[in-house]
Amino acid sequence: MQKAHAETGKTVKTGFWRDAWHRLCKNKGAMLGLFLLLALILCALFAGVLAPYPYDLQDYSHTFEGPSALHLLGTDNFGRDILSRIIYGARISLLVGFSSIITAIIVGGLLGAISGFYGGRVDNALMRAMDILMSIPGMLMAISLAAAMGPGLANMVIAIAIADIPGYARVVRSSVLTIKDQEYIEAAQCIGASDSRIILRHIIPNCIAPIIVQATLGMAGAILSASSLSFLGLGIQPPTPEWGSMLSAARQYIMNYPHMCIFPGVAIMITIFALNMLGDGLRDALDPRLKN
Amino acid sequence: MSKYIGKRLLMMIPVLLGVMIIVFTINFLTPGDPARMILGDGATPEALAQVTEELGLNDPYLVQLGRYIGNVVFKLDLGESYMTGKPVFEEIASRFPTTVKLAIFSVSISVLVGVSAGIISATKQYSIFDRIATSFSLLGVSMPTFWAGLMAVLIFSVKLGWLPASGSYGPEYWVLPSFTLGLHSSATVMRMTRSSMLEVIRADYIRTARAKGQKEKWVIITHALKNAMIPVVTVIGMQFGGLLGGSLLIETVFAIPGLGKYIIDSISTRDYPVVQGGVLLLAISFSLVNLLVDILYAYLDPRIKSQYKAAKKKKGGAKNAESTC
Amino acid sequence: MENILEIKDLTIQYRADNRIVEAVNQLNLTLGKGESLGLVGETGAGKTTTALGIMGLIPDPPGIVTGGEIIFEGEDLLKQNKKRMRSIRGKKISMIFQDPMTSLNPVMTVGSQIAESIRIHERCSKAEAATKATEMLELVGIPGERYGEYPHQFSGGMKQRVVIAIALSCNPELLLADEPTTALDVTIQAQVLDLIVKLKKEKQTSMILITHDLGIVAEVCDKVAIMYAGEIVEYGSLEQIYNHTCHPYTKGLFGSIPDLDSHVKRLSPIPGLMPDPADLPAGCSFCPRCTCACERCESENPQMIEVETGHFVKCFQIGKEEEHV
Repeated sequence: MQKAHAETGKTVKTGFWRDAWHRLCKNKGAMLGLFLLLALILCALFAGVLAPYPYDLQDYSHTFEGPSALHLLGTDNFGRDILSRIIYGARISLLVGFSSIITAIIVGGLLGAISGFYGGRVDNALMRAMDILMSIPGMLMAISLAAAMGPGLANMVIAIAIADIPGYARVVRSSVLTIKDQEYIEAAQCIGASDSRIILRHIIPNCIAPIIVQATLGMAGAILSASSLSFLGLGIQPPTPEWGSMLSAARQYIMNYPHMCIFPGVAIMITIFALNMLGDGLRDALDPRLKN
Repeated sequence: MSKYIGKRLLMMIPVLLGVMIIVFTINFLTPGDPARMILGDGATPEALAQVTEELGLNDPYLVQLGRYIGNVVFKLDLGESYMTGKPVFEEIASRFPTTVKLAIFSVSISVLVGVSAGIISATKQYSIFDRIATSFSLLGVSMPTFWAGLMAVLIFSVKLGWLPASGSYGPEYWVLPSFTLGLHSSATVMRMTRSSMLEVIRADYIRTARAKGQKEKWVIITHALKNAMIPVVTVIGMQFGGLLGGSLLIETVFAIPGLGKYIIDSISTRDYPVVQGGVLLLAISFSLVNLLVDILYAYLDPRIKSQYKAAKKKKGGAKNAESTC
Repeated sequence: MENILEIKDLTIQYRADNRIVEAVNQLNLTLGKGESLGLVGETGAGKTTTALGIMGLIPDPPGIVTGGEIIFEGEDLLKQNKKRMRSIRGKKISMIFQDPMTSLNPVMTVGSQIAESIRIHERCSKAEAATKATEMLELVGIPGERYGEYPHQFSGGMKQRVVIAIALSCNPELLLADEPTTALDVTIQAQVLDLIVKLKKEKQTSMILITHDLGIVAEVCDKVAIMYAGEIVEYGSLEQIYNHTCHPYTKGLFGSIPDLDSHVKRLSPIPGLMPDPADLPAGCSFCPRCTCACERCESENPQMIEVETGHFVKCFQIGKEEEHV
């Protein structure tokens, strides 16, 4: 898999990314995913403008209302507008998704790169440690970490990131190992390129493609984990609008006011769907050999 | 084969030790004073100090870790619950079967639905069935488990009134949770089976089988399936881990008195020994399932087995091959 | 002599992304009983597609047989139903594939892969099939006790022997050998080829040997057909093709072989590449690379002409030369 990136990436670097972009554009699913994701990012950035009401505006004369012209997705037990809370919720979800993935990529990528470069004992020790981390199901790991650290945004990000680290470490390590053995790296060494040049010009660019794919799909997982933690009361606490904690609060009213339960879930689903579609599309686009 | 299994079992020891270290460390770093948790807020400083000393909480990290591992390995002692004062091992052991039952039901549904839908989808690529199944699986993997559970409750309990929404008092209470978890994970299994099957169906040896005049049905069953299942088995193993994690959520949604719900409840009551013990048990069961998967893997793929066979035999085989050919 | 196989105007297309690729274009070929025909051409000329067409194993989609007849022992294979085709495949016509590394199922023992073919076509018990499969293994030079071993335990040459054993297990009337030695080491190539020739003689099988190696053809075949861009451009006996080479493409092929007897400084390769099979030239498909092409070649597709008894050439220039003489 990395071989293909490596070869194409090396000969014409800009061409590789342009080709990948063209392939991505041809993929309708990926384009739908990208469109949805951009829409979500816009929602998150301009929540203040887009949301019809402040997310914490309580209106006790209009509690538990179903969808209406005034409140498109209805109101909750405090009379807050659900649509506005969902729009603001996009901020939290995307923030948690991005930051936990970035943390995991930096730490995991570093560990993986060290493992791959130095090999031998360092590699062995690090990879066994990653194996052990991976032998605990990710969700379970995140839950116990979140339980130990207590609720809150930062703690949740850390909990999710730690559970994700081994995955990135493995991806980066295998990329580095594959690329290290490529003949063009040897060729670069032969013509006297410095180590730092090899790392900057060859190894890092060629690790990027698999990392992008893993990160896109991983972000879906991170957002899912975040909403699960919040649903269990281990993540974002009310009144901050988070989709999972909205569902957690809505749960007890499911008998009489199901609309409270439906829409936040739909929001999660659309987000995950968009990221999955985009991730699958990126994988196909960045790995020409897989295309059949 | 037994040699292979033995080797795998030996390889599990460091993994299990590592899991214990992680679980203990997470708990060690948790803020809060266990002595105060046990005695309550009204305790005197002397009493607190005494309990702290009894529990060995003044010892350095490594000593405490060693004692913890020793207690777990040799005495099955996971400490005592702050809430009930009973041994944690008894508490979680009584709830664990419920979780295992839920996991087994769900995995069965997941494999049954996921694998068969994947096979049909792959053999009839681009058919209506394939399109519907792939769309459903896409939606399935995009859905959070707990929300799927909520929606199942909404449709089948609240609106249709067919099945009970929560609790565990009879077989009918198991239907919604098992199907929610099972169908949810079947989406992933289906996607994997489909792509693996599609790859295998194009393989040269499938063409060889067809060239023998074999019936298409048997080409799929005897030739394609066994090869295609190799990566699927790995995914099923990983799904099992997902199901154990998911059981925490699903048991909470459906109020099933299993280990998952017990862990979540204990988190909110800060009954950390229980959380620690429960997480450890789930992590160990996941490792055991992975062991089973590895063994199954070796059964499915003869190439794995021979890697573990004595190198002598392999060499002999190669030599033989050269000399005769 | 009685013809075992007659192919008339066979056309096979591959369709993908609105592109139609003419893999086999109005192909005509006859094969007498007991004869060996060498089907020679560059990679992509449609040799394998022709063989798969005879087997009824064109992957659909994207491949479609759009026209023509394949008459085998008096019946048109293209008109047979699936069941009838299955009873012919492996029993009456069988095929040896190019790459022995991927042609065998990695998770089945080699013995059972041979026995499978016997079980499909012959009414016999499992044990009888196994005995016969062991005999087949011995016949291709593999000790019978390796029956229970898996393909990965065999070398490339040994695997190809297993593939040959599968192909010959039911004493087929017609054997299609698709570059059976290309993927093997040079030293093994001769052994495998000798084995095929020996078994073919013993069992009186007719054979189509697909290759791009004119040396192999000279050793093994009675008749030769030169294929270019989906068409037969020259067809005749071994002697006719090698000593009275007519078509410029055939001449080019011979010019590309180094000859130890004559000291030429350089080989004379055929200039250019095969035309894009999705966009064939209007006239003769070899015209763009031909050294003696004229205007007529560009616009008009030549017909096969018989230059001497049983020697056919598809080229305008040949007719001209005759006229001049």
